[in-house]
Amino acid sequence: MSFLTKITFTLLFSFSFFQAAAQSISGKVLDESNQPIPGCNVYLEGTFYGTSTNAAGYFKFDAEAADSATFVVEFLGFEDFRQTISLLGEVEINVTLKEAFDKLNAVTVSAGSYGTGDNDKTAVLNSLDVVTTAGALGDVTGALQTLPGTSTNGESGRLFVHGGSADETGTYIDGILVHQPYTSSAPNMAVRGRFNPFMFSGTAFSAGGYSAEYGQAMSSVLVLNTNELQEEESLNLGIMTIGADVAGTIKWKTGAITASANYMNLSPYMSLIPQNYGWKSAPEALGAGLSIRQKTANNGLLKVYATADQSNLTQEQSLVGNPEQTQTVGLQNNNRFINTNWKGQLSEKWILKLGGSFTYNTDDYKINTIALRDKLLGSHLKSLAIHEVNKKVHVRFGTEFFYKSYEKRINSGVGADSVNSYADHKPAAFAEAEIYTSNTFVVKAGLRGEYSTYLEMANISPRLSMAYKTKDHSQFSLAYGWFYQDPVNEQLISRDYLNYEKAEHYIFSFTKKLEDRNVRAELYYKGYKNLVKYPGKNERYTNDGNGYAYGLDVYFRDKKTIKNGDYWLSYSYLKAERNYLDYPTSAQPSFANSHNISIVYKHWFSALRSQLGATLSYGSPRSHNNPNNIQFMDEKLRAYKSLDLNWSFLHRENIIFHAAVSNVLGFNNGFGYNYSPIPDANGTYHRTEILPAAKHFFFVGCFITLSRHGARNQLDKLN
Amino acid sequence: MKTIFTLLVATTLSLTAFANSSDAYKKAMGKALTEMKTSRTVDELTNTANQFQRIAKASQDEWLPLYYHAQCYVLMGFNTDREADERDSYLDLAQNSIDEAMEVSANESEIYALQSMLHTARLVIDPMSRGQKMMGASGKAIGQSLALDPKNPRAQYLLLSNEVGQAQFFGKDPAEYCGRINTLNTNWDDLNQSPEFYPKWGKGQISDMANNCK
Repeated sequence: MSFLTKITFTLLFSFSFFQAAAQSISGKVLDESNQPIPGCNVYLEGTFYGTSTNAAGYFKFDAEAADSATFVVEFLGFEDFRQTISLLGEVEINVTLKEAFDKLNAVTVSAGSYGTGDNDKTAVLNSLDVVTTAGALGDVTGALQTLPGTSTNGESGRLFVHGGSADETGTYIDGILVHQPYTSSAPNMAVRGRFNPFMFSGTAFSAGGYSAEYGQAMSSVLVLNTNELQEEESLNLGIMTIGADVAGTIKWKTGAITASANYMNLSPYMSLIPQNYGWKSAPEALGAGLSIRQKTANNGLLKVYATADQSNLTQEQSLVGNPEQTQTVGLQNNNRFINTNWKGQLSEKWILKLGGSFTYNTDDYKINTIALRDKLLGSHLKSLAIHEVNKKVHVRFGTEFFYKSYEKRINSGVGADSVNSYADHKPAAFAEAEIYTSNTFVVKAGLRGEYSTYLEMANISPRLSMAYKTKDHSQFSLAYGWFYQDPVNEQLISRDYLNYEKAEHYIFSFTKKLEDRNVRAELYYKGYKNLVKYPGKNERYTNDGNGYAYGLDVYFRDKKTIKNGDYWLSYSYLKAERNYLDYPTSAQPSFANSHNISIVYKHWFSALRSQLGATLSYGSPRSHNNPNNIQFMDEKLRAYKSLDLNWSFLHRENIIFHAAVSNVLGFNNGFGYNYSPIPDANGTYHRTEILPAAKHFFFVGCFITLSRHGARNQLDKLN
Repeated sequence: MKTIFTLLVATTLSLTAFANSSDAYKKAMGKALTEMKTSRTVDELTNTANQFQRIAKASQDEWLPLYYHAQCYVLMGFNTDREADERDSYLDLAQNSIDEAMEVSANESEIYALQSMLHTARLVIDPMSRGQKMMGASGKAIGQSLALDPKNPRAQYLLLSNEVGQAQFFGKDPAEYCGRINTLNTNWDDLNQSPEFYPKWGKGQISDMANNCK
């Protein structure tokens, strides 16, 4: 063989070698229930050879490659399939893809929990809903009252959940306790949340069965998460019928600072709109806030939020049973609040959160010549570690320290002050594990322990929840737990030997999500133990009270059926009884009525660049105790009814007008009665009705945003 | 003798292999781009995206296959027949490819233009709650794209399209943008000179806008 022949032979051989490996590869791709998966990417790794599966899950392609190659099948939501295959002959390979575990798409425990946020999977309302719900008037609490599980108590404005009193709801900002979440108001006048809803990117409202991370709340927790780092510098101005506010943000590369100020004065408004009460000086409030964001090492973000607020009002009240005679009630509130927290990623598997809050609050009441001062000092420190053991197992644990001191000072106009006070230090610790067995089942188990130096007592609360998701977007959740709480301040200053109050929750919930429609139904039972009881005059308070609540909550939201329209319906049934405080027997408390209904509708008119909102609320008659009636809590108030409207108009990119009116149809709502403490000569207790401040509330405001990019607006201020 | 022979064979083989790889890239890109032109449905776009993904995996120093992979999924993200969650998961895939493409080629004006489209697709899914955030993000990405290449016709088109959209929303006459629209339309072919396989899309869109100005 000549040299040339040899080369030719070799080249021919090598050519044919490549030819020999040109093979067709075919097969089918199925999922675990033997259904074909169309659109899978099927290929040989590192080559251009491959194809996609057709509607029947079938694929076929030709490849010219070496004797063997790595065969790969990929599809979104499934684990990759990889196998080394021999290409020395036609290849037929059938593949079953396993569903990938993806925490973001997996089941979540939703029993009791109503998230509001853009990225929250338990979200039933998004953050914008909080400010665009008619009747809420930009108050987070107001918007949450359109969700099932809550009872509307017009004279309070606070959250009453699943037959619990307003004191049983704990409010947290970025995981840190807020001791004084509401503004102060005259007796029987509704308060508002202290915080501007635009500060928050998400809200988790839990009506029970919540995580071991949260303590000191027997009925519900409201977890508000503040915004991350602002995108750009801006100046926001708000001019309203009741006052004005201004906020400016300055930004640098790794941080930003926002300073804000607000002034409210209802006096011009109240001189135009007839009021049910006489005012010597209308409510007036002045506040300033500072918010700082700074990125740190470890992908961390430091948030600082501080406010200083003061408000005052003086009301003229006619005396019960003697309308000719009046008394003046003045209230001045001072509040300082700071909340700081840091969150950082220590490593791929460890996240650390550290935070602390401090509250100083005084309420000075003056009733004729009697001066009364409530002073609260509160602090909360918390560390929380979150560890990903593996993709399916997460643990979180932490330690906390609560401090609270409360003082009640009374001066009757003569002599020295009478002072009652207490101070409590409360260390606490919690740990919780979240275990997924698959995308469809998760169980969460936690334990929490607290010790109070004032009560000289510890408590341990177990919490357990689990959820199961079916193929058709339905989910079933169960939750169980013990929830302890200190008695309220006024009871604690009695210095009697009191214990924690305790609630035990059982919750079963069903949710179904179909495109832009959500349904949820929840059944719950709650048992109360160790409630504070007043056995009688000059006797010590005891923990002999008890009670229960059970009910059904139904929620339906539909963003799909009506074009540009969005509505939700909430219905709650509640059966609650208690024997606590001065109750002579077990009875339905006046804050826990049986039926609550809310219908919220929003419609966007693009031609008018306007959003119209309407909220219809109904609360069945609340029970009330008439001392002239021998039967305790035997009378009913009128049902609560209200239709509220709001209208927002986007005038320009950066200018929004907003108008709202409450109780358009002028329903005559009443929230109960004040009875004279002693009967008249005929043995009759006289009474006056507790009415809303006015039949209607009107609001008009204009919100302007100035920024370097003119396009930005206060769309999120459409309240 | 034997050494020379071995060398010769080795060289021939490696040359063949090299030519094969480069040719195969061109062939595969050509085929996938042709298919992309007629891809409309989610199924068609998935198949085309799969092709770009295979090319991207086999040619890891090229950003273009990643760009087109992302573009297929951005287009799917605009598909109003699908549920919001599904559209968001398409856009998550697109975002991954955009991030990878930026790692391969850090200062590519076209990738930022596509990023802007992706933000707009997110906005369209839920304009009421995402409007403000995504409008800002989209505008920012166009700015980055134009900073890298002020002449990029696609970035210019996206900017005009955002501006006209806003003007219409606020009931202003978009005619004030017609001068810039017409200029861009007239100069499109001159501006749209780019190497083989580079993004070319946009001519139809800008000429539609120009027609609305008449």
